[in-house]
Amino acid sequence: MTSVPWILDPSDEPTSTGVPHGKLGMWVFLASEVMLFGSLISSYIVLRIGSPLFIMPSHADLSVPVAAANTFVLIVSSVTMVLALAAIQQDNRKAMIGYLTATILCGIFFLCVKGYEYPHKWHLGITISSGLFGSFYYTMTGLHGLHVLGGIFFNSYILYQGVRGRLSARRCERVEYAGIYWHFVDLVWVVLFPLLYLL
Amino acid sequence: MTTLRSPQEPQAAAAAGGHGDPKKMVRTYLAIFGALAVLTFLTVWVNTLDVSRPVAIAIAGSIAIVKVALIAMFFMHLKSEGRWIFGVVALCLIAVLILAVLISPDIGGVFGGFRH
Repeated sequence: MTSVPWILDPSDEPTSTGVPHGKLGMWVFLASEVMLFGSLISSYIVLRIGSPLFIMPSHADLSVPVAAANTFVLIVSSVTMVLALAAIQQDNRKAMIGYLTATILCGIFFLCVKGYEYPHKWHLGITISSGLFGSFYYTMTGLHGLHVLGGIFFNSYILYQGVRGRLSARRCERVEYAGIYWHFVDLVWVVLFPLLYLL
Repeated sequence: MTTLRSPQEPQAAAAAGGHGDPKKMVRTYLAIFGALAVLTFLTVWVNTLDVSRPVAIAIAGSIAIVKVALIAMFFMHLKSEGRWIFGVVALCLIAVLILAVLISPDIGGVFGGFRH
């Protein structure tokens, strides 16, 4: 077997912070995302508490069991994502592909459930223009859904890289970055679920 | 077979997720998953109980904070990150705190009995 010399990859380049640019960039991006969702959530809380026009639909209309199941699906997707990272760190490309595929499928399932929930709510008269709750509900879940969609694309790209054999134990930083983003999407839903469905 | 090591290898290894032995980490990930699943069930179950609204908000809020912390610390590996990443997160939390302080008069005003 011939030895393969290392090839300098951009991720190998030393940085002044000691943190790879990709990782730092991802965290800075997520910090801006926190502010985006944070401002929406704080506006929701202020109006929910303060406005007499804020009418909350009943739990039955909100289909809490469906949303709870969807929350569980997103948590499962988070653990499969992190298992995909652990697999590639052990150079187990096949397992990584399996876990990453499961993560993508969970994301698609989550969006499909949202696709079921939305028309159900429209049928009950909860629309984006029906009141304050509807406006917030569709804005926040819609924005979150777009992030889920973005995560599915990101993970699909990583999966493609994995299938093409471009990922290994030494070249798995992209899996980690995709994971950080995906866990953030899960983290936002963990806050939105009780806020919009339970309280 | 000889393996040539690059001088930047430690940083590359860190980039590739130097968060401990992956085999051991799998057990941690599964434990966190179990905790998140239980906490999600708990959030929904508590909501079915006949408790006062402030108590329900306090319980749901506390559970959400614990879940967020578990995801950030273990799944996003914040626990093993250095000062730069912590700095970014701290800045973001300070900004959120400022936001919370700014809206607190509105919330406090409602609870205190007056409305603009």
